[in-house]
Amino acid sequence: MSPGSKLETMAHLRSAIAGIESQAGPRRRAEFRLPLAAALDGALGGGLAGDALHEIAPAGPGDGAAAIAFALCLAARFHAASPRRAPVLIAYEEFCTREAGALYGPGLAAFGLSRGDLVFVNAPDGRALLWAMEEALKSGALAAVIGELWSVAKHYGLAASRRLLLAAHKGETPALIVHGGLFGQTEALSSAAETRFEIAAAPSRRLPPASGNLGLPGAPAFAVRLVKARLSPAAQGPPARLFDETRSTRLEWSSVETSFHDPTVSLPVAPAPLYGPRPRIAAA
Amino acid sequence: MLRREGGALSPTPLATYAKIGNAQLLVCVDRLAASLGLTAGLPLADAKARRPNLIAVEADPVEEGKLLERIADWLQRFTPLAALDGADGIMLDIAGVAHLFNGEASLIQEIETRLAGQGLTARAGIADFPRAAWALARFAKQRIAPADATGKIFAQLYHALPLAALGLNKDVVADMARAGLRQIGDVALRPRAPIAARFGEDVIARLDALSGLERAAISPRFAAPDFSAERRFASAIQERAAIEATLFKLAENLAFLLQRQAKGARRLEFALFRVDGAVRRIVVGASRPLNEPEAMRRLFRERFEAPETDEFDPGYGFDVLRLSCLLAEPLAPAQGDLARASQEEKAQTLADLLDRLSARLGARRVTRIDCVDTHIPEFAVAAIPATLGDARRPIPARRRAPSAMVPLSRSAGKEEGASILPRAAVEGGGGGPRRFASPARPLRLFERPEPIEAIAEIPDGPPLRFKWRRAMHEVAAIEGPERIAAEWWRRPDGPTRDYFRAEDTEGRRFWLYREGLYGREAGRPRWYMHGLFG
Repeated sequence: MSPGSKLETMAHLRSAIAGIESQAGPRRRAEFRLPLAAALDGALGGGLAGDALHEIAPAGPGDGAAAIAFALCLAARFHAASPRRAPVLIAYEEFCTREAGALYGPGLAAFGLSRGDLVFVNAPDGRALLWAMEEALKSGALAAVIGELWSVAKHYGLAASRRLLLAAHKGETPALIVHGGLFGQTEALSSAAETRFEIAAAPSRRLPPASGNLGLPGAPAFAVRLVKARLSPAAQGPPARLFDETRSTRLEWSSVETSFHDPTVSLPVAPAPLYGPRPRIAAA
Repeated sequence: MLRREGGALSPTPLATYAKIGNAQLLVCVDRLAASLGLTAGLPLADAKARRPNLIAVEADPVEEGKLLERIADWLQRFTPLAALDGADGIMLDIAGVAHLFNGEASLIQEIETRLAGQGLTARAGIADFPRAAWALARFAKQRIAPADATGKIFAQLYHALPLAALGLNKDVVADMARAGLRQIGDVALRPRAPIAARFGEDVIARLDALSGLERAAISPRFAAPDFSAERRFASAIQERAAIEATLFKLAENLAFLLQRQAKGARRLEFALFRVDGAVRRIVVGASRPLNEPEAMRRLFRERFEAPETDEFDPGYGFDVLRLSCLLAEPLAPAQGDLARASQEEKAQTLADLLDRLSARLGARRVTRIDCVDTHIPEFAVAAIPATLGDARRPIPARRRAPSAMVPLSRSAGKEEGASILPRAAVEGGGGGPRRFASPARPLRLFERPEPIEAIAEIPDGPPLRFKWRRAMHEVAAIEGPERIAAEWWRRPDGPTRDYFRAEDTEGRRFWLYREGLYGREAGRPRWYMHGLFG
């Protein structure tokens, strides 16, 4: 029997099983939502959807590295949660590497992604990048697809983001798009993405120095502002806003646990206004 | 065998000349010029005096070489084994090919007519051995030697040819002429030992090559593929749809050939022979052995649709299309294990995805990373094409340099060549009990470190503030130095770098370094920005 016909048999059997299961209620990977942090999960309806498009933009011109780092944190969490530890594909526009430096392999290990788990695609322009992302999403063989887009105004809009969203639905793979060249206009952007984050670097918790009076930098920390979150269909009732878009949440990444620390628990100091209290609205 | 004699047949004689020694001599003449009595080797001035209407062009060996290569590529439509032979000949291995063109005579005729159609004059010869074919094409009247020519037939064919047909250099031929030896027969019928003693072993070796006693090999420009399928058209096709349909048919034939030997294609070449002599070759790679025609077609379609490609210019149309498998690998028979089937299927979809991306964007753009054993950060990582397979493999032994990583102990001290790690790096590293803590590495690395202005309290201390890309940054937290010495076994005088991980007041983290040890290597150390942390 040739491998092709074998695949067909597998697909046939699988669709038959899916047909039976649909009677008992579907259990698909698409239903999977990735918990992020207690402070944000309420607004996100339990976590980030595993089959949708999420946008990440830096808050200022110096926050590009923080934005891509946040995307890598999310990808690492999706990677850890994927059943067979599928690889993560990172696509970037060539211009990004010239402007902000190339992604550096050993540095990625700090986010819990080892070199065997990563595939890089260096796209010559924004169009090729979006095409590569779409193909990768549709294949369904990856844990997450990250795209770093620089020419947002030229190539990205409602249509392009809708294509990505559909591809993400089809392959049941999360798409994370980082708008490297866009800052301060996150509200103005219109797209079909499910969520949009604005990321700024946040001062880390310092470690006591061995000598001298300056502390040592601690684990990476982000000031995360949720700008857009589509209401999940599960959320019933009046169309209340589930998040406050002016408020930024401080998240700290732990590479050992592959998760974000809950800021209110782990902070040794009294919470500054930046960190804020626990969310006012619990998970729906 | 082919001999090029200059440009197209034209009403005025044409010749090329080159400066040989101190004189300008003709090197090539066309057929008309040859019929007017001009020969290669004649001084240009004499030739001009004899034929005032002669057009003489200076020879351009580089361009001629390129043209010859193009002709050789085009000749692959007759046989996959085509080799360049010197500056003016092409050798074709036509074993098992001639019957496809109704025999040797019509093969020669077809080659010569088709080349004449492109404005090239060629002479071809066929024999059992390369040197013999070379001699026949250049010097003989009867240009096709019968198979297994020995004894009388051999003598009839070759003995009347001049000694130059052995391919000896001019001095030896002149020497032999002085001794009264002018034809191959003169040498062949004489005892070998005295000839070898007087004119060198080479003469005898050449003579033996003629009769196949001494083996001579040709080195084809492209290795003959193990599997190939081709289609010829009586009239050229131009439309892409037709070409793609043909490609699919060829892929089906190829898949059948591969399947018989339980093999799959890792590298495929689609060669399109244009009627005007141009040859397009499209090579695609697959990261797993392919055996499905549909998958093969998909890979080529990505290449056809790639935005910047102009490979697909049909011109006057293509008349031969050939799909060959350049690299085949055994295809593991599919496992009948249902539990693992979905895993295999997933690996297969990933491999297909990587192939498609590589085919459209180029294999250099779709990569995995591999580590290189060096401490210089910009060389510590290599990108390898993802189609080559998994990156999880041992580092090649030849790359191993003496490791300079030292355990974190007091005794490490300030040794040069050592990587001295501060305490925080150990805490940040995490990940269970390890003998060595890996120091923090940035998320983004600049290809070229950018010079910055930094102010430090003491010349060899950490920076307090620095100016990068016209913005001032105040250091709020700092870690370092991590000292990375130059690799003295490669370059003896490289400066040492002291790396710092600095966080400014806004929480942005940078990786900067000071080049040169204060007082020893540099009077005034320079600072560079090398990377950014997330």
